[in-house]
Amino acid sequence: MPGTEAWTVLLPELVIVGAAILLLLVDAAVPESRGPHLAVITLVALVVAAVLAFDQWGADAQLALGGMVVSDSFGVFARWVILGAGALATLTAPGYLKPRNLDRAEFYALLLLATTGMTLLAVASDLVMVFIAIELLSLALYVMAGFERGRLEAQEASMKYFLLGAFSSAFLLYGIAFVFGGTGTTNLIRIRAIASVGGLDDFRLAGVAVALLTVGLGFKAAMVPFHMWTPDAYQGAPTPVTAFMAAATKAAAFAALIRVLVLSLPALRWDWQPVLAGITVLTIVFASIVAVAQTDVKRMLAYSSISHAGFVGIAVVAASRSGVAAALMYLLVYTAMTVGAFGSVMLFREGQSERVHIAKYSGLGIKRPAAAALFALFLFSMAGIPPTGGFWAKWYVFFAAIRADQAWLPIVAVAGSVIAAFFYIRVAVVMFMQDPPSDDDMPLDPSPGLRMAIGISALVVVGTGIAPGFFLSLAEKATAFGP
Amino acid sequence: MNGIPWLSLLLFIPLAGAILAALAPRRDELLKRIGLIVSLATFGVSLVVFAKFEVSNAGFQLVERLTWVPDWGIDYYLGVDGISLLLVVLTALLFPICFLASTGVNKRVKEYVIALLITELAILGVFMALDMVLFYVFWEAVLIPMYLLIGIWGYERRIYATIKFFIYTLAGGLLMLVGIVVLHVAVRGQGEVTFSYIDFLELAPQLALGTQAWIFAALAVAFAIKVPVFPFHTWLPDAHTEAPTAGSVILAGVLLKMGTYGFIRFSLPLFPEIALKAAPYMMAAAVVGILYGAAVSAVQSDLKRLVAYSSVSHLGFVLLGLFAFTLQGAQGSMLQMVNHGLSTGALFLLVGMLYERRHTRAIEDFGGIGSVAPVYSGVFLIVALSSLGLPGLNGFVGEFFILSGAFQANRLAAILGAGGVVGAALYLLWAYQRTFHGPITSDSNRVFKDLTTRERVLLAPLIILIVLIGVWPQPFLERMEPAVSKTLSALVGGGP
Repeated sequence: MPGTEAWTVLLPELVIVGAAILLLLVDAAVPESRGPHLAVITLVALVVAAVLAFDQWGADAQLALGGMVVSDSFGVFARWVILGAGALATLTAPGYLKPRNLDRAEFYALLLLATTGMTLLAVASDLVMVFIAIELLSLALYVMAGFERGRLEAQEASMKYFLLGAFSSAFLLYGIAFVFGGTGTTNLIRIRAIASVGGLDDFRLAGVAVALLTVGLGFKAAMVPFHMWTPDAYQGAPTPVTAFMAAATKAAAFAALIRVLVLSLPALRWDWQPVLAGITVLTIVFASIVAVAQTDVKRMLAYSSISHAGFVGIAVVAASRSGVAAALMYLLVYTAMTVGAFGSVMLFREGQSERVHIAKYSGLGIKRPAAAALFALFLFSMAGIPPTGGFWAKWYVFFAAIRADQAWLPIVAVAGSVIAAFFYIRVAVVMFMQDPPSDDDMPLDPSPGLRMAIGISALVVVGTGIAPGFFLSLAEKATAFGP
Repeated sequence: MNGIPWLSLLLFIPLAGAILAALAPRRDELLKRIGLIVSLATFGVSLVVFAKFEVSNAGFQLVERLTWVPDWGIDYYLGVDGISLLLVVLTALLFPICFLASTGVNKRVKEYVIALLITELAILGVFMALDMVLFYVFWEAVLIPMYLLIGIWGYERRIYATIKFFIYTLAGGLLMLVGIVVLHVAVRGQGEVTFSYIDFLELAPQLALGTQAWIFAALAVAFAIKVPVFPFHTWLPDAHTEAPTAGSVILAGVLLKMGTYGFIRFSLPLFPEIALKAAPYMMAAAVVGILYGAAVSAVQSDLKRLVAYSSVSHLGFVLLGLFAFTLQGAQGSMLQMVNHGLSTGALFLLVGMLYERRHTRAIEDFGGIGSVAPVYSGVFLIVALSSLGLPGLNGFVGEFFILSGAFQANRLAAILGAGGVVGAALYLLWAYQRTFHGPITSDSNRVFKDLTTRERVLLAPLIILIVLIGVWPQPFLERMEPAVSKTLSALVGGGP
């Protein structure tokens, strides 16, 4: 086994788990403990974890838990995206939970545990660890999706996510079993070593194994046709959870997909590339078309996030260094856009709840020009219009695909983008070009954390748009993998 | 490169103006004045650029270059040559006129001024960018303010029109993006990491013909939608008709030229062999556009829609001249781009004034206006005659050059295209007759106000240029000639 063992690889995860336990202890010691200190503990833990992860940036790869996890720059970048999504979601949470009487320590503890699962997924170098990490993040998310258990939609979201999630875990496990059968190991580093000397040439069931793994991970990444749970779960879950699920889970799932397919099974690429390319095309086209028909903004954003999974998928299909960097760059920008967009939905209040029906957005740009302009910024970025970060993200994906001689994928993606643009600009049309109803003064949510989260997201979207070079070179450096 | 970055100033003055307008108090008159002064300052700088331009130099001048994304060879890279110079000046000229013509706008003036200034910045950027990524960024950046201009300050069917405009143009733009990336990757395969237009000029024609054909097609669709070339024209009548007056002037005056500029700047010199092969088809599309646009114009009952369709016809001429690959044809096309900006811009302004007075644009509502508003009718006649190509006015020079250039290349296309000139005379004069001659049929027409001083001031520069280019086109032609013949020399070898 190459690489040295060092438990410090898992230092960021240990900090997060520690904070989760601390939160639960606080809750036990001080019953009915509520207030902003819960969110502050969570935020501090996430930031400390991100800082600790920085230690592994550009350093020599190290292993932990007997080769179960590996530290490398790729893992650090993916963790940053996940921790960033978690921190932004945490910022938005208190303002949402408090009026609903949901601001309990469990929420933040679950969020931290889900984050732990995701970061573990990003550094997993063993299929068993991939499975454990997915289970950890899923179990926490099932509960979080149904956290507003008084609402019927929340129950539906949780139930659907759980049933289909359990189903997909079985697929994943079955795929892992096949790989074990073919190679005699579940360790990704060993699998790559075996494959590189032709050890998989006689592996007749390689196609089946890869297909099962793709189904399992494609479910978490919400790619068509494994997306069925997504719109309902995103719509029914508390919006901070939706933003967190949409941004962080996707980053974690794609990190795992890249580690398993691109990094460990390049020898089987003729099996997985066409399958993944097909899924990708289906994802972009289907999600874009269905999104056009949505009238609920949260649901529309859910379909939009599915179509973004297709774009990251293109970068994975490219199966190259620039493909991996493009996927990371896309996930970074996508996280900011997604949290920003869902955050904007939280910002626009209608009475005590959030404004979800698109017709209710009419004239928002006239009554609340600054907030509406920020929402429009996130939507235009999702549509890929320069000079926003979304443009460079798409750009890099196209570049990677064309370089890998897959020019047809960007062309399909372009068709999808044009359809998608229709619903992004429809929201802008409603906000800016229709007159507001006179009896509605369109209040904004007063929560300072939410505003901060939207502001940070906007900074990232604009920053990646104006100075893409810095972020691109970071993503390129992050393609340095472990052993 | 001397001390003052003149081209960057052209971009930064509107940007600074937009920021200033954003910070200014919501006082409509003040905001409009900011817009006017800022756009006049931009026009002043464009005149400096015009004066500093060396006439006999075929290369790019006043070049500025800063690194933007070093890993990919993407630069902030600006320059003008004979092909872009006049379009830059035309753009800078039309915006102050638009601000003067915006007295009718009284809702959300702050956003209006900002949108117009950002549009100006982006269009100027398109004409000056020498890096293809920068070009694309400006190209798409035009989209959002234009979409807002049509959608917020337009007429009844504005939302339909603006969504159609947006989707069409975005589809073309994204295809172009794929084309540019393919070009970059192909060139990278030969060991060059660059997006510079100057580098592509040398490298692109050496690529495999199959690759060239694909990239040419992707770019051509984007440009054809913008021009618009038949059959990609269906967004135009809606967008032009529903846009507010300033929006229509910008659309017709300079936005459409982004498409024709794209053809002459990129499609022809980067892929000369493919362009030669595509020429018969492009000329056919141009001729169909000329005749179709003229025929559809003739039957319009809405004066603004008539002017909108006439653009399809006029831009057909530009395309015809470009793909003739003769110096005369190309120069005629270049000049006709400017001419169309002046005369169609003026027509939209005049129709806008008509609408402000009567709140209708239906030709049947008018008649006999000539006797109550003689100055207005006279100006309208001059502009209409310029648009239909009367000798002595600017339209004639451009169309004559185009048709004689096209005749050398493809007689049939030139002869059919000449039919468009006849058609233009038919629809414009017929519309003029129905609007301005005959008895006054409605009482509200009896009190039709003639041009005010403000309106005379804003139309005057256009009329002066219409006449000036008509009788003395030399200063314009001599500036574009070196660059145009250099571009053509790549196509026909050695130059004409």
